[in-house]
Parts: sequence; C-alpha cells; structure tokens
Amino acid sequence: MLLKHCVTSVRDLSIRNYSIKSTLSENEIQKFSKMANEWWDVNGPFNGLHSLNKLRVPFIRNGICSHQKSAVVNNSPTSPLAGCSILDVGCGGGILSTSLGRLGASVTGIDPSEENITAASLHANKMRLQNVTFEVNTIEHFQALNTSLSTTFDAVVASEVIEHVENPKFFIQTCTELLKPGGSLFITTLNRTPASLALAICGAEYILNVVPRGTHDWNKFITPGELIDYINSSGCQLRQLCGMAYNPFINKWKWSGITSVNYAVHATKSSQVVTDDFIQNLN
Amino acid sequence: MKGFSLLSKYSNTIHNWRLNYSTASRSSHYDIIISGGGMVGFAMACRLGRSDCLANKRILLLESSNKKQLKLDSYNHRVSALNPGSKSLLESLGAWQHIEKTRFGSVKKMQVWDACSDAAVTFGKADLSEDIAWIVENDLVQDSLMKELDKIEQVEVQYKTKVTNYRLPQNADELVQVTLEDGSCLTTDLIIGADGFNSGLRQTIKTQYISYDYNQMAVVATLRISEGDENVTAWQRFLPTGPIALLPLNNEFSSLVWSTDKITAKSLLDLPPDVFTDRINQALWNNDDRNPMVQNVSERIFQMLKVCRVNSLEGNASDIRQLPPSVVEIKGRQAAFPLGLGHAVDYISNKAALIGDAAHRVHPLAGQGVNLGFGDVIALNDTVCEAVNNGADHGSSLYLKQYQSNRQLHNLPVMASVHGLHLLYGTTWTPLVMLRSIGLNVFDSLSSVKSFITQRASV
Repeated sequence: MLLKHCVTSVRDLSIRNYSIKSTLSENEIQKFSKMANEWWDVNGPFNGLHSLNKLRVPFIRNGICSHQKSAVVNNSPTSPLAGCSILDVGCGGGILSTSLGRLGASVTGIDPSEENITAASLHANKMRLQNVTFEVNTIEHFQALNTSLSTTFDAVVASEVIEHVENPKFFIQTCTELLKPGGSLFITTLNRTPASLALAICGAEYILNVVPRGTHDWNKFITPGELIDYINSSGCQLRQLCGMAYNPFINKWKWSGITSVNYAVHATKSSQVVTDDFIQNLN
Repeated sequence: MKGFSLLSKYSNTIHNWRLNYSTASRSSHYDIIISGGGMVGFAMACRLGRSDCLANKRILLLESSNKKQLKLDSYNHRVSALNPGSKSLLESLGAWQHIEKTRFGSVKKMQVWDACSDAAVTFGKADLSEDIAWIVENDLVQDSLMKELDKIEQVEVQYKTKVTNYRLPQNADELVQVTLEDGSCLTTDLIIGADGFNSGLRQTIKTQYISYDYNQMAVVATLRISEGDENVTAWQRFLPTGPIALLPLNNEFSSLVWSTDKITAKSLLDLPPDVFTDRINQALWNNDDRNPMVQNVSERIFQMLKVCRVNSLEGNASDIRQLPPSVVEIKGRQAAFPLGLGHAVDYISNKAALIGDAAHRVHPLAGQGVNLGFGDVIALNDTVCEAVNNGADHGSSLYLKQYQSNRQLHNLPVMASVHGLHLLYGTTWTPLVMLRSIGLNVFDSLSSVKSFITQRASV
C-alpha cells in the first residue's frame, strides 16, 4: 500500500487541474467530514493540529500586532487581538478559529464541510465565544458574496489547507481579494520534497500512524518558491518564512530553519490599491 | 434534510451540555478555583491574580479554616528556610516587603556535620557577605500573602469553606464540579489542589501515590541561644536518630527542628523546659555516637584537605570550623509534627493540577519542602499564562502535561537526594559512616561542586 502510494505520487506529478477556477475537491471534503466528531479530542487524530496552535497562534498574533498596529489599537494583555477581523479559510472543526477568538479577534471560519462547521459551532457555543462565527462555504463563493458587501478582513488565515485545494494560485488570489489593504495573509503548509514524502506521508501516516492514512497527497504539496510566486502575483509581499519541525513521539512542534517538510508564511497585501478605474484612465 | 438530521444528532449533546452549563450561573462559576489556603495556595492565588493576561479571569480560593490573625508576641514554631527563588517570588508578589518590615532570620552560613565522626560541610562565603537563605515563620509568610491578595479584586477568598467532593470532567467540553459542605456546587475550568499532603483533590485524581512513613516526628521550638557573634549560621547535626537543626531567627533566638523517631519525639514533648534544654545541648555537643576509628580517619583527611585549600585563592567558609551556640532556654512550649515522604505519580488530570505538599512531601532535613511548592506555583502560573496567550483553554491538558513534566524533572532528583541523605545518615554501620564521612570532607573541599548544588537548591 505504501509502495503503491509512493509510486503513484512520483508518476502523477502534474495531477492538479490548474485550469479549473475552483478550490473544491469532493474527495478532500469527505476525508475530513468522516472525522467530524474527533476534532475536539485533544488526544485524537487531530492532536497534531491542537499542538500546532502553540506555534501558529503566536505567529499570527505577533504578525498582526507588529504589522497592523492600527487593527489592534484597542487591544489589552487579555485581548491582544481585540478589534481585529480574521477569516479562517478551511477552518475544519475550528481549532485555530476558537483560539484566535479567545485572543479577542472577530473570527469568521469557513469550511465546505457541513459536519465540520456543525462541530465547530457546537464547540464555540459551549465555550461561549460570541465573537467567533462559522459558515459552510468555499472561499470562492464566500468571496463572491462578500464582494457586493465590500467585506474585507484584517487577516486571512489558511492553515494546513492549501495542500488540500485544487487550484492553489486561484485560492491565494481569492484570499487576497478578501484582505484589506495592508492586511495579513498567513499560510501554513507542507513542502513538496523527498523529505516530506518520507516523513509526512510514509513516516506520519504509514509507520507511526500519527496522522490518518490518506490525509495528505504529496503531489498537492507546494514548495515555498511556488507559494511566494502565487503571493507576489496576487499583490502581496512576503514578510516571514519559517520552517516548522514536528516530533510525533511527544506531539511537539518547534520552529526550525529547515522548510523541507512544514513551513509557515506571513505576507501582507500592499497598501496601494490599484483600481480598475485607474488602469482605464492610464489607457 | 441532511442539515436537520445532523442537528437532531447533536441535540442530545446540546441537551447534556446545557445541563452542565445551566448550573454555571455567573455567581457559581469561576475560571480558576484553588483548593487550600496555606503558603503555597495563597502564593498561587497572588501569582495568578497578578498576571496581566489573566486580568479578566475570576479566581476563587477555598480555605477550610478561619481567617488567621497573625500573632507576633512570640515566635511561631513552624518556620521555613526560603531559598533565593522563593524570596524572589515573594518579592514579585509584593509580600516580601511585609516580611522585611516585620521580622526574619538571615542565613549567611550553613554548617552540617556528622555526630559519628565530626565530618562536616559548610556552605556560604567565609566573610559572611551573602545571604544564602531566609528563615521566616510560616504564619508570617501566609499573612503577607493574604495582605497582597486583599488588593487583587478579581481574586475572591472564601474562609471556613470545606470541599466535600470534586467531579472532574470526562472530556474537554465539560467543567469541573466542586461540591461544598453546605451542599452548594461551584464549577470551574481549572481546579488547583494546594490542600496539603492529605489532598482531597489528589484522592479524586486517583493517581498512584508513592509514600513512605519515616516513623519520625519533627520537634519544633523557639530557643534563646547563648550570646556571641551575629546569629547568621544555620546548624544541622546528623544524629543516628535523625538530624537536629538550629535555624537563626535573630541574634537572640533560633528555631529548633529536631527530627527523631516517634517514641523519642513523644518523650521530648513531655519534658519540662529545663530538661528539654539540656537534652538539646547534649544532642548538639556530646560525642556518645562518635565512632573513634572513623573519627581518626576523617580528621586526617580533613587536615590533608585543609592543606590543599590553603593554596586556593577563594575564602572558603570551610576553613573556619565554628562551634554551634549552646541553648540557654526554650521560649514557650515545644510541639511536633509527623514526617513522611510522598510523591504523586500524576500531578495533573482533566482540568486539575496539584501543587505543593498535595503533589510531593519531603523530609525537612534539607529545608526544601515549601521551596518546591513555590517552584510549582511559578511553573503552573507560567503554564496557564502560556495557554491563555496561545488562545487555549487555561485548563487544557496539552499545557498541564507540560507543567507536570517540568516539575517532576525538577522535584524528583531533589526528593531522591533528600531521601538518600536520610537513609545514609540513619545508620551507625561503620563502613557507611566511614564512606559518608570521607565523602563529606571531600565534598566540602570541592567548592565548584558545592556552588553547583547550592545553585540547584536555590530555585
């Protein structure tokens, strides 16, 4: 089974259909919907995501507080993200959204899986978090809906999501369109390298069983170079790129200089917004 | 249709958590509850209350006894030797200023010696320029912390409130339920057990508890000592029956902590003051337990090492072997408390954590008991703050596990060493006496090793 997976991965390198203007993959949605009950079991199949919060929450908090001081002008030590609006794309069961909500941000979590959103909403209600809301939606539909409302966010987060979408370039573009000028984009994902095939797929899913089998498709992993290209072409500027290392034996993440398996990116949308009118006038 | 079926599937869950949360009205729900109000419990409440990131959390401390009024007419018998880490904690909590204004003993030197051979080790600078520990009455520490706690609005203290039952959650979405003697029920996201070595919370956690009854009691008293130089030395003599220690309170008084077997302890308790005073002086001065062969060898080695030390540049306190003071009289009556070793295999459970004697109990021979407890306070506060700063639930087991491993890594070696010393010095078997006497003399001359040990015992 493992060998078959490796062979298929190496052979089908161009499996992604970049021509489709869609981020949706029915297969991917099904994978996670089946495990909807287990999102909030800290020792369950999502324990790696719970412990990843120790890295990604401070990463997001510090990124916003240092680059968008105006967004958090009324913050306090108990609510460092008060006043900030965040969109969590592919929020799953709300593991990240809930934590950001506790820090005072107004969080909107979207996910195409109804089961996931139900689990996320239920948990947020139990925690009495009124500043966190969830919707069943894809990023492209959400963006289309919000264009008419001119709703934009101080930050858009897509953590451990882009490796599950069909068209990552389109995904980044759509995320950026939902950002305010100067807003922050936070991505955490996996790199497409032999190391990540060995560790994240073979090691994590087949040998140690710390990640459910079939969770990741190596062909969909994105290199930092590719991600930075998508980010630049959508009008954002890279601020930070950091590697992350995971110790599955003790379920612990730490920052690393090596980006060959997991990495995190912080980018900001340029403050100068070039409008269509301006371009027309030039012509 | 699909959405409706999902909703009905979850309706049971909603009903269950409503039952849990409907009783959690504003007045009976607290973000953190601390059970037990001794020095460690009050320090925990103060530390949490003073953390900026926890400023919006409601914290409650439950204490079963009445609010104590501090009596300062005479010295209280129960004292603690605070290490630099504990003193820093009390300073950061604003409690140390009250202690400083009231009274405390400074320890600038410690001399520990063996009754079987006179082998000794001293700690501290030869010129007595640095404080290595502070002797403070337990009641004064507690009172100082209470004074500071009164200033912190979001921390509430309920005295004369006894907990009869704890119900810990089965999953992360439920709350801890605490039932009080009057039948009322409180809920919380994190219960901290600071309820001493017979901890009710530890019994609820059902963790394996490794315990060892030393079959000893520590006899305590306040003693007037003979006049002489500044009383800044802590003395401890290891008798075969247990160590006897004199801890300086001020130039006139020292506190006695005499650990001995239960029968001897009980007989000491019954003695009239003058006889008791004689017995203390005998324990400090007589040579009945001395093993002549070991004494001989040990003395030669001491002289040899002294010659080596003369060549070293540092002013080592070991060069000057002082004699302990003699006791003139006892002030008030003597008292005693039982001694034992205890260690909980788990310091934590779902939304629950143990600190202080509830988690671990040591022999007082190394003066580490409350210092380990204060260390737990600092570590647990740091853990809770880290959880909150990362947007996690402050009772999250992901973080509590971190607290447990950090503290066990620190506490276990200390406890093992203290227990080891108790066993080593509890025998009169010549080979062991020889070994420990030579070892002690050699250890005494290794100032870098001594500094390392002192440093480790300071946090």
